[in-house]
Amino acid sequence: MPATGSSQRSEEAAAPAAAPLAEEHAARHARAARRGLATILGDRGVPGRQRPLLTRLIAVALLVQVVPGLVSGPNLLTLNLACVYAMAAIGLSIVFSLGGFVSVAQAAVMAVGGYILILLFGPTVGFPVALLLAGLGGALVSALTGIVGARVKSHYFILISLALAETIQLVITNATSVTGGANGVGLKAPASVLGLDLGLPTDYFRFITILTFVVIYLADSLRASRAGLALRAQTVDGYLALAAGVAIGRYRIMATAIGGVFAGLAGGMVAIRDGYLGPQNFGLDTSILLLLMVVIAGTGRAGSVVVSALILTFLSQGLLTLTSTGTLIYGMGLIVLIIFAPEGLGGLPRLARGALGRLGARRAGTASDDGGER
Amino acid sequence: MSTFIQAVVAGIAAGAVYGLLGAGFSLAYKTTGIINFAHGDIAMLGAYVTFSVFGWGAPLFVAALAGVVAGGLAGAVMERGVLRPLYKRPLVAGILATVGVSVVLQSVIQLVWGSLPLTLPSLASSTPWRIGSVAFSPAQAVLLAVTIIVSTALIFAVDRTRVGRGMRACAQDSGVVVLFGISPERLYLTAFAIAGMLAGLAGALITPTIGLTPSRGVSLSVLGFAAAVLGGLGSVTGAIVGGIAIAVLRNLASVYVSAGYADAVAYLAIVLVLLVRVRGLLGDDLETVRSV
Repeated sequence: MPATGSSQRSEEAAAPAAAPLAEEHAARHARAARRGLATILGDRGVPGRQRPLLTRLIAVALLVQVVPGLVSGPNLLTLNLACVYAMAAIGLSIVFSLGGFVSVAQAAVMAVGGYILILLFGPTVGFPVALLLAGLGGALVSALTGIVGARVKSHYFILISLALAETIQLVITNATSVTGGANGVGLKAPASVLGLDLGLPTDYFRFITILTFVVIYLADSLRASRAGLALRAQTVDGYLALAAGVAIGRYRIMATAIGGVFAGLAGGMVAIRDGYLGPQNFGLDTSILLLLMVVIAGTGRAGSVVVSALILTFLSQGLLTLTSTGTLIYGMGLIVLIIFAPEGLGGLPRLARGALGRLGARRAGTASDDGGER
Repeated sequence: MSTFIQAVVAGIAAGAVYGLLGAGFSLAYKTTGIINFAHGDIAMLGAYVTFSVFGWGAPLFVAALAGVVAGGLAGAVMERGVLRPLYKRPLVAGILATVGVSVVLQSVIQLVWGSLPLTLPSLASSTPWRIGSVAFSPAQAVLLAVTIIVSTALIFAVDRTRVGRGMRACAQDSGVVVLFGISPERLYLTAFAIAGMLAGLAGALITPTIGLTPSRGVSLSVLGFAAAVLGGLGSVTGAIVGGIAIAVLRNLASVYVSAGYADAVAYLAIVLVLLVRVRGLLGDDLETVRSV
């Protein structure tokens, strides 16, 4: 592309009349290339747009100061859960939109992290160490799926991750001497870090917000890095990436490992939030919920995953705990969203603009039909 | 030794039903490429409809037929209403939509029939015949017979009829079949309707042994996936053989290892087959070259 672009530019100098045409040609190419990426990464999956670090830091400081004063009680607990899910979902979005794997094992990876933390953390092993080990354990298990998955085609990966997730669930339920089985296992000591008492929902919120922002920053940095570029290239066209000398197998396994770190951390934070873990925290429905957060966010951007995690956590906590009518509405809502919002929540403004544009065009009586393109 | 033979015999009867589940899943997957997470829930819907129709005084045989029809309808409605708009999108969208359908079906079942477990009598007596020390009940014989009849008819339909040929062609290239005057969309509908009927049948057959609970569908889906993958995705015979193999291995594992880990056999089978021999036991080469 750059080669043809420069040759067009030299023509432009020679023949000014041809310039608009050549420019339009180049612009159309750029748009088409972006749309090619957009089918997988969403509209804004183009690199080079990182929010500056300072803005992020100010945002964290504001959230940490303001929110615990505004939100309290069960809402704060749900907010904390949403942050946990957001971390795991950001990990899954790396596995999904960068690795190209559709995984239903993310909750099981969380379970590994959660159980590592709850079993290790105590008087001898401190909280930060246990949390790091939880992340590491998550990375190992998730990389295992990547190693297996790099050998099979994408739709088989769902089945493999399903098998892994259910096996982990079986082990948790049956290895009663270690995990407490279906009864679960409790936290041995109260956790505190950076002077925050994590037993309190407000302090927990402060810590998880900081952690979530670190995860967002790391995920965005990965996307913008050379490895991220390689991963994005292989999701667009694996064969082409291979031909260009990208070791796609290694990068994809790396993507699953990094996604696993975030899930492991999130699992550990579930243990701290509830003070207790059981197999029911990490069932298939949780994995599906996380996958929905990623798909509904549409763009692979960590920020939009957080937004959809917030929405879906509150929705699911509200609807799923009610009755089967609530579950029915939840299921219907899922189907409607998947059908009518092809690019997820991130695509909704564009969708609305397109619809408005078409409406306006019809009203004006013109035959313009490119409202969706702008 | 007699425990071993008993586990195998019981496994063959149960496995026949997993095979039916797997065959339906496999047929829909082969034609459309969609992994249907609602498959087990359609089976449960078929079982619940059978339960209700039987409760209204119809003979059990008729009730089971009603279950089959309900399953087929559910499959067709799902294809028309939910999957049809999604064929042009990445496969993930369709697969996640089937998850949505699974959630919807589960809650509908809960709303209509409640969440308490129910029981359904089996098509034949379950007082066993004894051959030596091995027991085999008429109910198990009926399961096996129904499976053999249905799967033979299905294999004939897929191999010999125009629709079956169209499905196989569609699996290879859905763009080219259009040139031969075949509508892929109609084939997709047929595939999901047949898959739904098979699921409904499997549900009506298996619930006398496992009981009716709304949440049971997921585990049935997984067993169906495992059967289809082990046998070779896309092959009806393979799915039946895979289902029987999984059921026998599950029974053996619960006898010789631990009842808690019996299901792990099914999961292990999925992973091993996909890693070592993607086409499964009886699948064709198509699956190994298919690019998705």
